[in-house]
Amino acid sequence: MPLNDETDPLSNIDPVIHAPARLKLITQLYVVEEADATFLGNATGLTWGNLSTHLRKLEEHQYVKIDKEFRGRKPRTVISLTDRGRTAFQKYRTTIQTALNDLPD
Amino acid sequence: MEYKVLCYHEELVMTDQDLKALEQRTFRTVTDDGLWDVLIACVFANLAIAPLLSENLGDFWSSALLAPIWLATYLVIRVVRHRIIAPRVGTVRFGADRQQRLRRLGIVMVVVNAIAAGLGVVAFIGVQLDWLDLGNGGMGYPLLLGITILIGFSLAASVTSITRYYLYGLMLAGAPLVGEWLWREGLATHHGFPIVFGVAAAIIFITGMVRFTGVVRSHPLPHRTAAV
Repeated sequence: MPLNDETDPLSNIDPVIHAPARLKLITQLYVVEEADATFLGNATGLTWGNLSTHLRKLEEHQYVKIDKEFRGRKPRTVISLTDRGRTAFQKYRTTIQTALNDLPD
Repeated sequence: MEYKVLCYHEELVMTDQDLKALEQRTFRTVTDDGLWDVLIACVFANLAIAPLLSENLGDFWSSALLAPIWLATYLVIRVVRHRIIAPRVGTVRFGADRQQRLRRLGIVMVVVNAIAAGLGVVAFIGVQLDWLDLGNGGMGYPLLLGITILIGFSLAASVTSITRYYLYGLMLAGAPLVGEWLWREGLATHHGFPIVFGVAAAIIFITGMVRFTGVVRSHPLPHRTAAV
């Protein structure tokens, strides 16, 4: 069976979410309404540069919404999962669970 | 790194239960900074200090005088959380379900605290209410006070997933009973309140400060670049 067979659940895995760093980010955002960049950096262990890169990638696919605001004089970046991102993560969960369940023992 | 990622998949962090656990862990990370412990210690220190002040100030003013101290502590905690904790740990807004549970907990805690404070005052000023005696040889007040405190702290522990609140509940629930016993044995004055609640408040305060110091030390201020 060719590897890119459409019936193979692994071929349906969303590559945007599947990257480990982005998977961590999107899983963390899935369980809250919104979080700031400081929290996400701590929670995922990503450097600011990596965090920025992965968030931009998720934003490009409209999976997250990034708002920059000021609290007093300090800038704050607030990130939330969009409906599209939420749906994509739910689909990813189903796909990955199916793929893992199908694996032989 | 690879191993961690593999575990991330193999442990199926995406199951509903795991996501719930992640939400609870997130809540604890953001809120369990030890500052609530300091406020709890401050509130229960009141039950230790008020009886001592009442000899000079009277029952009402001895308690009323400490209310502004509660308020000041609360305001200081808010400022510390805003200025010291938030820049280090970050901030999170939780989903509607969590917010609703917290609102409900807030209402329950106000009711529980009002009952506990009322019972504390009644027990201390020695108003004789037969229905509170419960046939326990006068242990009705401390027993009810203890149960009320235990219910309050158990609810708080359950909603926040901060397990040490169960221990605080047990310790503070036992405090009025031990205090009453000490007073009857002639080992303490004022129904033992200054000793038992003083010791309990000190333990909770120290625990809170240790936790706070740990959070500050383990979360240094991030050196942000302009990237994020």
